[in-house]
Amino acid sequence: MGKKRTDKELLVYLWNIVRLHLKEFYFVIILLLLNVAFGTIAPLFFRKALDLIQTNDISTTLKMILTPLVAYFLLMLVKWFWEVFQNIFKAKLNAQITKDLRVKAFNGLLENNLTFFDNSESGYLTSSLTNDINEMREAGQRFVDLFTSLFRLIITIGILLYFSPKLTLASVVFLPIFFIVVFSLRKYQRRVAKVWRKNFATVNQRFSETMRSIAISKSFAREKENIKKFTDLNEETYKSSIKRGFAIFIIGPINDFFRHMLLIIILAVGTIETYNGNLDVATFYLFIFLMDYYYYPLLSLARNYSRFQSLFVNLERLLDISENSDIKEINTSLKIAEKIQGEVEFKNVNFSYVEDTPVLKNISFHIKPGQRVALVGHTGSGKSTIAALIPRFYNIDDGKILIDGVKIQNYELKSLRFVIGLVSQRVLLFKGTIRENMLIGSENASDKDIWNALDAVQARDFIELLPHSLDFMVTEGGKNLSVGQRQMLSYARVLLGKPDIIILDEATSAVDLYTESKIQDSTELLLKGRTSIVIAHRLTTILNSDFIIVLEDGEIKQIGTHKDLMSQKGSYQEMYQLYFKTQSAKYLEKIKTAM
Amino acid sequence: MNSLKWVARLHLRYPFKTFYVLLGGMIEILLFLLPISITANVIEISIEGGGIANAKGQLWFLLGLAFVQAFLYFSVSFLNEVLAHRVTTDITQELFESLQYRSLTYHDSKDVGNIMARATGDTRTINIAISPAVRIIINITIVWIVAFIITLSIHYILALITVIVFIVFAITTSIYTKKILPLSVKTRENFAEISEVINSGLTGIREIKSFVATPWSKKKLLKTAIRYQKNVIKEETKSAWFYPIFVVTIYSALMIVLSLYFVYKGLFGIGIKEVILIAGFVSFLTGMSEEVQWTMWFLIRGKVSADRIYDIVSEKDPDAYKDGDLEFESKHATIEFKNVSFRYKNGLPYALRNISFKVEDLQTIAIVGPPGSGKSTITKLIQRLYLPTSGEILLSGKPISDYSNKSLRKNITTVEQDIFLFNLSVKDNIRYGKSNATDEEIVNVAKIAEAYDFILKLPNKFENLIGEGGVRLSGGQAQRLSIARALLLNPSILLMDDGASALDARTEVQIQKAISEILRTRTTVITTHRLAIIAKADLVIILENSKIVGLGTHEHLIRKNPYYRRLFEKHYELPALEAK
Ligand SMILES: Nc1ncnc2c1ncn2[C@@H]1O[C@H](COP(=O)(O)OP(=O)(O)OP(=O)(O)O)[C@@H](O)[C@H]1O
Ligand SMILES: Nc1ncnc2c1ncn2[C@@H]1O[C@H](COP(=O)(O)OP(=O)(O)OP(=O)(O)O)[C@@H](O)[C@H]1O
Ligand SMILES: [Mg+2]
Ligand SMILES: [Mg+2]
Repeated sequence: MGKKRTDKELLVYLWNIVRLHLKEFYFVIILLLLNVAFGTIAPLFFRKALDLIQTNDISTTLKMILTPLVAYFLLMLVKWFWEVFQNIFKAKLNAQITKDLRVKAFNGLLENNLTFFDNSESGYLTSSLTNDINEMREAGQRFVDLFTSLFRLIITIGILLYFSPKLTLASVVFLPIFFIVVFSLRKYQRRVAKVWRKNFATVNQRFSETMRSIAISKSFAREKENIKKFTDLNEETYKSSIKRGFAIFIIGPINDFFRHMLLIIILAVGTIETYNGNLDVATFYLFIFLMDYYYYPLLSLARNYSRFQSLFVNLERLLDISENSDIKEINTSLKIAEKIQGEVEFKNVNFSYVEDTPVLKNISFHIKPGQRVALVGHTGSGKSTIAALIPRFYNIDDGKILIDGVKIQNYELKSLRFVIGLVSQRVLLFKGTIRENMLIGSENASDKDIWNALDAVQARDFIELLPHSLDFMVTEGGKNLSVGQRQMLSYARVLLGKPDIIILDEATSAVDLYTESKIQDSTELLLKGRTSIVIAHRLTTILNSDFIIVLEDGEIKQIGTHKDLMSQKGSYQEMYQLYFKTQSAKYLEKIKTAM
Repeated sequence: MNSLKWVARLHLRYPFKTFYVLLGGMIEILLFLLPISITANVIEISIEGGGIANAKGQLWFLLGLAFVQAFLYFSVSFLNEVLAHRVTTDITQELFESLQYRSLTYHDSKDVGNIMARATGDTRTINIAISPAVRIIINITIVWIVAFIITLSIHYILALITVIVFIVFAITTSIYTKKILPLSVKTRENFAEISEVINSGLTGIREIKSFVATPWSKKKLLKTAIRYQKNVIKEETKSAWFYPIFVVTIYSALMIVLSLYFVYKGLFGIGIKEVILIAGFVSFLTGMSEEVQWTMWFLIRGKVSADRIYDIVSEKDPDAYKDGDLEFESKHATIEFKNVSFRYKNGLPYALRNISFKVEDLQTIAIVGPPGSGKSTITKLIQRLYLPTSGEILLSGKPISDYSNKSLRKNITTVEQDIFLFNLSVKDNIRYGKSNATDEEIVNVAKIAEAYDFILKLPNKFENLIGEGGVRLSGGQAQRLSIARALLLNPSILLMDDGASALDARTEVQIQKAISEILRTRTTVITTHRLAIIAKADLVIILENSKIVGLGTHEHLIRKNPYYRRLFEKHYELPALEAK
């Protein structure tokens, strides 16, 4: 998905985050440089002492020998403290960067359009923002190490050059070969890391899906199949982690091998040079001693380089979902929607979710401010789709949707949604108290407002019976409330926001007829003066609408008042008759005669 | 058993790998140390004025060693990594399986985001703890032992110092570990919170957008992310003060200084070669011991994570019940509730109180009542998703708990009110309960459920993916798939929990027609608000406030029962059929 990003772009993105914490960053770098310097200088004192002892001149006094030794000792101590500080600042920097990355990615993700979410899975996305970022944190840690390594390498080579250019040259001869080997693994490392992260996210997704569907999978006794399917995925993930492990661990032995070679070269060249009198033993030893200073950075350079591949992979995945302009909701205007009259007009609107599968065809209607309009039609005819287009959840293919005469694209998106209240067909409550759920769209509402809204949807009684009443903890998705209760809350929280345009998409479909009619009566007042669009299969719900739009297969078949439509022979009349035949009328007749 | 034993036991499933890694790891590090003494030897040759000819043997040996060591190192480290992934894969598997067999009551109290954090986040930390952290700790221990041997070979005082330092190092390390542990527990918890917040934001994205609640959601994440950040900083700051290494640093400096001093003074017969050996060795030792800092920290985190997963795997599920072994045989079934009371959790009000009724074979019962009155709860109890708090449920005369789970599931299916569909193809969704169903069967039930026509209109027909939770379908389409999915099993007891709420009258009538034959041949429980269905039922149960307030046939209730009458009272005021 999306375009390919170059490494440079990825690094720039990272750097832009690091830049927010320049103070810490510089601190870390400075501490780090000093630390390396201390670490590299200390062996020089050691060489000095060794040299003095080895040559064993009569002129060397104890003091002459002890001075470098004490200096060595002290340097080691200081180095320790330095390292502590360095680690502390590193931790700070890293934690801040992680937080920024995560928050930024999440914020970006939330701005994506619904088409993106229709096609993705929450558990999968979550993994990117949790696990992948943590993985990157480890990589971030290494990023700092990378600096250290480079710096150490340069200093060490500098010192070595000073003492014996020949031996130095002999010992860097492997460097290019080594880097070529490491570098050539890059592509492979990335490829396997990508698969690995993908599988990892799928495991996350599977957990999420299985947890959410536990009731249905129990009813269908799917435990065994679930496990079997999971085992396949899990084993697949195992295989990909091993491949990735191989890509990382193969560096180790290559490294060790080169280290041994290096040692052999230094020893061989050193012995020859000493023999020829070009080198003193102390310096010879310094090379050995510093070898690890030279070799360790190499090791970590190589190791970090391969971990870096994961960083790139993860960052790329992250940016694909959070910073991808193809999938963003685009705010086309700054005009704030305010004090809306509530006029809604569709002009020849065509829309499809998937290309070439039109869902709405040439839809036109006009709702005057304050009118109550009903949308009816068989299932799948496109009612919810119309409801989703008004707050611009999706962009239409062509035609126009106007609110108060202004195209909805010309309103600032958030303000547009703010004036529209949508009780959606799929109810979702969040984990949290009932109060928190109510306040989601209107943070500042008082308890009194909340109770008013709850009263209107007849929810007071059941909430008062719950432990802690408004502070009752709703579990994830509202699973510890009955479906009807969830619907009432979802209706109430829209009422609480006092939107200018309210859309009720099967808002009371799970509620019994008696309660529904009570809700209708009590919301009457609240809905007065607001434009409302009601979608319902229960035709009892919509009889007192100003007009009714009849949809069939994405097209408008009829528009008119109940009376008009009943007098036309058409779909509405048919629907209505069928509805009442099956719903009540026949039986009501019976009831009347029975009593 | 605790979590560490559990993880250890998982390792023992792979005795060869574990053994190889442990033993190989020890040998490998020894081989790695050999060059230090070879170096000392070669330098000694130079000190004594020897040339390359004298050193040749040693260098060749070193070359051979390079191959062996590199191979051993790779095989051990890679096998260690394999083992770590193997074990964490098993851990993930065990976690998944344990969740599968938990009671629904147990699941009610769990959060998806939280479990996800454990399933993937925590397993990963365990993974890192096993490879490389454990191996490095083993390496370090070996290095210390070798240090002891080398120093002993030079002089016992040096060896004594080594032992003392090691003991101090080990003790301080364990003290340090204890201090970090609680901080790690906190960070892991915070991580799970982050996962919860992100996941809930993403699953609720439609609500969040619609209520313009993005700021709310962002703030929530920011808060948890900052909390996590703070705890991580605390944890890492503490771990940065890894003072045990301080002791080692002093030790190594001291050893070098001392040995040089001894040479200078000509004490104990120590020569330059010994100094080089010691210097080479202690600086290696210090380097290795420095690694203890992060390895210990990784180990701690690994332990904390193992605890977190083991908590779930080993958690008691007081609501789990023993599976019976009675087979549910006949296609005929009666359902009887005897004084059943039920609540979902202690402290919550009863969802059902003293419910008694009996459904005869092949009967259809309708349950009606206002939201929250307990209708769905009854259907869940019939499926044995929960056991009654008190009272008894009999299926075909036998207590429900006597039946085997398998036969119950096969014979009772449900069209649930709160539909869950999978992000699979339409076909896979329909055959969810019967994976070996033929295409013909699938098409057949799709037709009965009036889903066939719309499925054919989807771009990929039966192979069309329907999005997470079925988001790419309309409400009624989702419901019809759920009906088809239930019908495919051809159950003896069919439960329809508000199974037509999202359907228009025409579709519903069509489905009704198609399934009326099916309904006649099995016991059916329907909760609904539609009078047409209710009126046809053999028995109607009216629930209100978790109690039965009316029981009987429609004809009876409509005349006698005020609650029932109230439900449909409003219809009196509806305009009469105008067209006729
Ligand atoms: N997110 C989506 N992606 C792709 N197709 C979709 C999506 N949502 C709905 N559809 C399709 O668009 C058509 C209209 O769906 P819509 O939800 O508007 O129907 P509806 O009239 O609300 O039906 P119902 O009464 O069943 O709720 C359906 O065929 C459906 O499959
Ligand atoms: N998983 C659960 N945990 C705790 N309480 C629950 C749970 N499910 C339902 N309840 C509570 O039990 C009571 C009965 O719920 P139930 O779902 O049976 O109602 P219902 O009659 O089906 O309502 P509706 O018509 O809204 O579907 C309600 O008060 C509800 O809040
Ligand atoms: Mg709809
Ligand atoms: Mg229910």
